[in-house]
Amino acid sequence: MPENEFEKKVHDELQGFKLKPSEAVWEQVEAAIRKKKRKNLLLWLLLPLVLCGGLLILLMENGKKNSAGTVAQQASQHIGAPAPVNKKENTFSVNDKKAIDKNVVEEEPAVKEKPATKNEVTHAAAIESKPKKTFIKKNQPAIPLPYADNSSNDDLLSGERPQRNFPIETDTRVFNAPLSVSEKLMSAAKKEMKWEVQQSRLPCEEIEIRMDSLMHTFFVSSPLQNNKWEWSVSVKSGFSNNSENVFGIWGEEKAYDLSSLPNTGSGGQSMIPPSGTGAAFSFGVGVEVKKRLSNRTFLSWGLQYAQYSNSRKTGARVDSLRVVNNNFVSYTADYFYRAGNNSTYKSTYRFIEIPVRFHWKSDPRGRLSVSPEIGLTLVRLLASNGLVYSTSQHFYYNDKEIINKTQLHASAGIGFELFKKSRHPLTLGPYLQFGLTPHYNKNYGGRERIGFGGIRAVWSVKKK
Amino acid sequence: MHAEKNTCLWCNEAMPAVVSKMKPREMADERQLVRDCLRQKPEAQRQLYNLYAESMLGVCYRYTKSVADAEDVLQEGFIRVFKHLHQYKFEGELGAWIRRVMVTTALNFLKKNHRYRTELSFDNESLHPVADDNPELRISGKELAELIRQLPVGYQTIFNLHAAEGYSHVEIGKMLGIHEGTSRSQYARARNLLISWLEKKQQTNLKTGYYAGK
Repeated sequence: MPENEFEKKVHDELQGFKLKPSEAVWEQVEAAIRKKKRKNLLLWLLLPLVLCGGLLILLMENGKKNSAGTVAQQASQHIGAPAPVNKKENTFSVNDKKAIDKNVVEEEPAVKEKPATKNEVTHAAAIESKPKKTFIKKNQPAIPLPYADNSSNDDLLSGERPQRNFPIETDTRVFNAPLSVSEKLMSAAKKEMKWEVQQSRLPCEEIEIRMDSLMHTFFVSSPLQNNKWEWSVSVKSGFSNNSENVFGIWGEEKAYDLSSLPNTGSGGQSMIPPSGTGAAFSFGVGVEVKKRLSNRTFLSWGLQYAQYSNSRKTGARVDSLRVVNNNFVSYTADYFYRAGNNSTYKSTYRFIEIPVRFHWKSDPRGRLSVSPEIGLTLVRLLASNGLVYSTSQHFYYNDKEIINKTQLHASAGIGFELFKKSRHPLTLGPYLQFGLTPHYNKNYGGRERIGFGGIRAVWSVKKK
Repeated sequence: MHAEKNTCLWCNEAMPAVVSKMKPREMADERQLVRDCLRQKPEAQRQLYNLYAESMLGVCYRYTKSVADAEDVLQEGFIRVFKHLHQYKFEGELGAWIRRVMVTTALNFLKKNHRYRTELSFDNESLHPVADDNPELRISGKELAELIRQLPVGYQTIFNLHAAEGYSHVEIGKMLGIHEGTSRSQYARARNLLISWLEKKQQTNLKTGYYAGK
């Protein structure tokens, strides 16, 4: 306690000093203590959905592999032949070669077959081991092929050209599992090749060329060779901004000359408009999975993290609680920025995105294919330090609640596929994304949307 | 039974209990009021605010340079009071506890706010002798508060903490992160300056009264 008389007097005098606060103080205190934090339910619902989706995809992929494996196993048991060593769609089993070779009369001893290894069964190997003599038909029972067309030997001998179209007759006792499109194609191609071999009196060199061509058409060059889902890593970087139209993405922040603004006489602040936002660096990274729909069309979807930013001119920061009222919804801001143009503030919005895109490839077989894409992206706000302007109180403050947490964006881009022959081709090109949903909710108003423009790179992780 | 002590909102250290001058009935009412506030009853919260808002604005007013800033501190302080009311263990007066919260909030406001922060720098000066004069205080609490607010921010803060709130220089040193000697020195300067202003003001009042024929 003060030891001096003066201090005691001051203490006593100030103890009774009271001032009546304005009613606004209680309103703001009440608004702050009544505020209840909304639970981020949607995010918690979305995450398990995404995880379940991923799990389902994995299970489906495994199921496909298992069913294919079962077919091969059953076939081998039925015919008493070893199962194909590999269930790759663009491979050619040693047993197929055997079957072809058995249907011809060999004038010289057959070339010793190599033991079947995992990577051995390419069409080149099959052609290489074929006898280079004229083929002559011989009615002898052929070893049935462990494929869908194992009943085709009779067709071949009847002299009718087998149809490449579906459906292909299958032995349902053995092949009770559904066949994929490429399996059916492969089967049809083999049927055709065998027919060519048996019907023609062509020199074996000619047949070899034709078979090579056929194999190349069906198993090497065909765009339908890979019907699996293609996983890829995508990265985008560029600039983003809040604007009312797409062209505003690259706009610069508007700094007002405060001295030239009209003064209403009440401190000159009431007529200060909010400063315009400018473009700032943004990026996104994620994973995608792509599915072929037809020769030229693809559908992709994925999950990615994106960070969009913009900048704006503000005045000085004030570290004080302030309750803001926007259309009867009040919010307590921990700090705020005065209107002005003294400093530049960078607003950052962190999103999790689920993009769905439709791709079209100009020339799937060409060296450089161009693939335009359009899509929709569902975005969910994770965090934000973005400033909004209080039109009634003339300052900027950070209120995450005012932002539409779930938004729908439209996207468009052009991808140029590079290193196409590599195991991991890269698709690179310009990319544009713009919000269909307004960035701010109805309580704040405004028609601003988040826009992004930049480069998008997609690195495929598929194994050819 | 082990009695729980009031703890500081910021550092969780035990705070000295203030001996209550309230009557038992008033104390019971205050306890009930606090319990109702803890149950989030709006009318109890409003009652608590009405009970202490005016005196607390007086406190906040002395630490700031404008009524708007004082109201900002009051608002933030009351939000913290309601948020941390469970830390009040009914030891000492509730008013004293709220006052401590307000003072701490005001100090935080001064440290955070750029306008005050630049002026709230203390040089490590040597001990300054305190003047022994004890002038008569013939001014009201409001006038005294206005004079205190005329002091530079550093002087104003230390004078308020020592003379008005009764904190020792050691405590002030801990609160502001300065040396105890610096606090004493700043206080002495503030006190001398304030006494000179008081004397000048009292002389002016005397002259005004003389010419007015009082």
